[in-house]
Amino acid sequence: MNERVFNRIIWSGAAISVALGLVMTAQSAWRLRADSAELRRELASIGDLKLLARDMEERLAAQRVFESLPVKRPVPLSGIIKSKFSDETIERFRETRRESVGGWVVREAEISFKNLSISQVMTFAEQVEGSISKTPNPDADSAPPWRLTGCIINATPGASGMGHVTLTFEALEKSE
Amino acid sequence: MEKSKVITWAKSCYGFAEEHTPNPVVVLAEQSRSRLNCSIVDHLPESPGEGRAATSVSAVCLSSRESFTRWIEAPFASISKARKVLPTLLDIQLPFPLDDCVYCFLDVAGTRRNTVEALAVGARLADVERKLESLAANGIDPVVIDQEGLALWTQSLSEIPMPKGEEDALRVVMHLGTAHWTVVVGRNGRFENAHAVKTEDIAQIKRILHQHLPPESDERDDKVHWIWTGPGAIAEETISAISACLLKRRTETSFIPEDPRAFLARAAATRALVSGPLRCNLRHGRLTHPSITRRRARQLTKAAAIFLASGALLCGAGALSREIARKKEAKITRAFQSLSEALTNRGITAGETAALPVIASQARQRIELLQPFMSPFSPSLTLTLARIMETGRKSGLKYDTLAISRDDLLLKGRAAEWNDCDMLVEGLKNLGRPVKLERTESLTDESILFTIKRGGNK
Repeated sequence: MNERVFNRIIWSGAAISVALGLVMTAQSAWRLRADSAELRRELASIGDLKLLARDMEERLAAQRVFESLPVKRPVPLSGIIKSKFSDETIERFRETRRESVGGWVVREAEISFKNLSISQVMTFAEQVEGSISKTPNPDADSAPPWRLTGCIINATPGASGMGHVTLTFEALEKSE
Repeated sequence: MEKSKVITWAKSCYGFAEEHTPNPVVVLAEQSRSRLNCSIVDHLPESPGEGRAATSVSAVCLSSRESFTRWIEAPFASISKARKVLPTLLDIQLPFPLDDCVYCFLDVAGTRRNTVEALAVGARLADVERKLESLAANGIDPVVIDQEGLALWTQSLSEIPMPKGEEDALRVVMHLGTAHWTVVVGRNGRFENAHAVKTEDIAQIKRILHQHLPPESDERDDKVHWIWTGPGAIAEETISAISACLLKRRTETSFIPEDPRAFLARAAATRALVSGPLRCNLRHGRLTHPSITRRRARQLTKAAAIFLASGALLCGAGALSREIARKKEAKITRAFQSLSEALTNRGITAGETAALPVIASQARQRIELLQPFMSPFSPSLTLTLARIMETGRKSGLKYDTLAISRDDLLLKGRAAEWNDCDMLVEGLKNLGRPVKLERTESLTDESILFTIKRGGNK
């Protein structure tokens, strides 16, 4: 191979190499620009999903605590009410259920009292909830607890400290 | 005046003079850092080639008889336009075709007359080839063929600058060679012309000088600087004898450089190595020295190899950046999949971004369903109720209506004073329940009717 041919080959190779390199660079730059916008959107989505996943995990961890309870039915509320109040005081007692997850159902109990003192309301609510602590104590409370979810008090005119009271409680139950 | 460099890669150069004689003058000029050392040597150099000889070159000068110098003026103000017509203008002036010559144009510059002037330097190809053959017979293979007149002129200015205050004097460089004499004339640092004359042809020298000076009868005294070089300049009596026959001006000064015999060889060697004005190499075109051709070819190959490497590098960089992007995308895809599986028990690829609202919606629904499990871990509503009752007692508030749930609050009642509710409002805010307070004065008594409901700033 003489020098001229060799030079031609080298220069041709160089020209092709540079052209290819420039094309690839331009293509990569264009693609990266498009991809980076897409990646940024996906990263933002992942950020949102991570927040949701964190909330989900908190709730699933709470569910695992309930699953670990030896008893998966709350204490019957009607029993507590009957032991504390006379039939005349109780205007209405109503229970509803709605499905939750993993075989659990949410029980909601609404109790209306005709004329009750506010201090009795407080005492009763605290008794239903058991110990007022942030976490259920599996040793002391081996059943899912009742929690106060709503309270409506309309004061009785002329009777200080008395009123028509509606309390709503909620508890979880799992049929085994 | 533009400066240029003939040989850019060599570190040393052998300059020749009197090369037609059995004992040519050989000067070795060596460049070290910014200094140039010239010394007379008594051996001929190796032919330029590879290895150690590659950084050393040889330079000779064509005599003014074998070559020509001409100032050419082109009637254009634009230098680029003028360059296109300079060869034609030169061709007209020569008694032989320009195509049979090697030539170049030096110091191409605009003038005040809106023209372009250039110094044409050249020689007939046949003369150059003959010179090369005779040099080869003497074992000399020059890479650079310079022009004698230009070499003498620039070297004289370099070794013997014009004295201050006499820059406009006529400078005459008289090179007294063994085969011929050369007269180089210039003024104000500008080369005008070079003439080859027979040795001891004083009359011819006089005629040449009178072309550049006003007549002797003219009362004006034009200063003349004489520079005497060449083998004939060694003997002072020779110079005196010549001077006596030439001009008699009131102001004539003679200078003899150091080692005048080697002056021309020094000039050839210096001009080949060092950047300066009026540099030329008449060994170009088909006469180009093979070492220069080989060097150019190597440089081209190197340039091509660099381009090849650059191209390969670009390709590699492009491929690498794509790979990095692909890996990042894969990482995000995996994160996306694991998150979507955790939220929906179903794997969805990152490309299915349209499914995001569905995933988020499903996740929120599930979170909603699981919310009751959080109830025991949140502060009890009884705490809020207790706080409301206790604060009411302390502040003397009377509640008419209280409705409270996890997300809502409504409290209506009466207070004795306008500010009695403030403690309750503050207490509720501290429990994480920002509320709005509305107060009005009762129309029936002096109490303040208040309504507290959910809202306001935390």
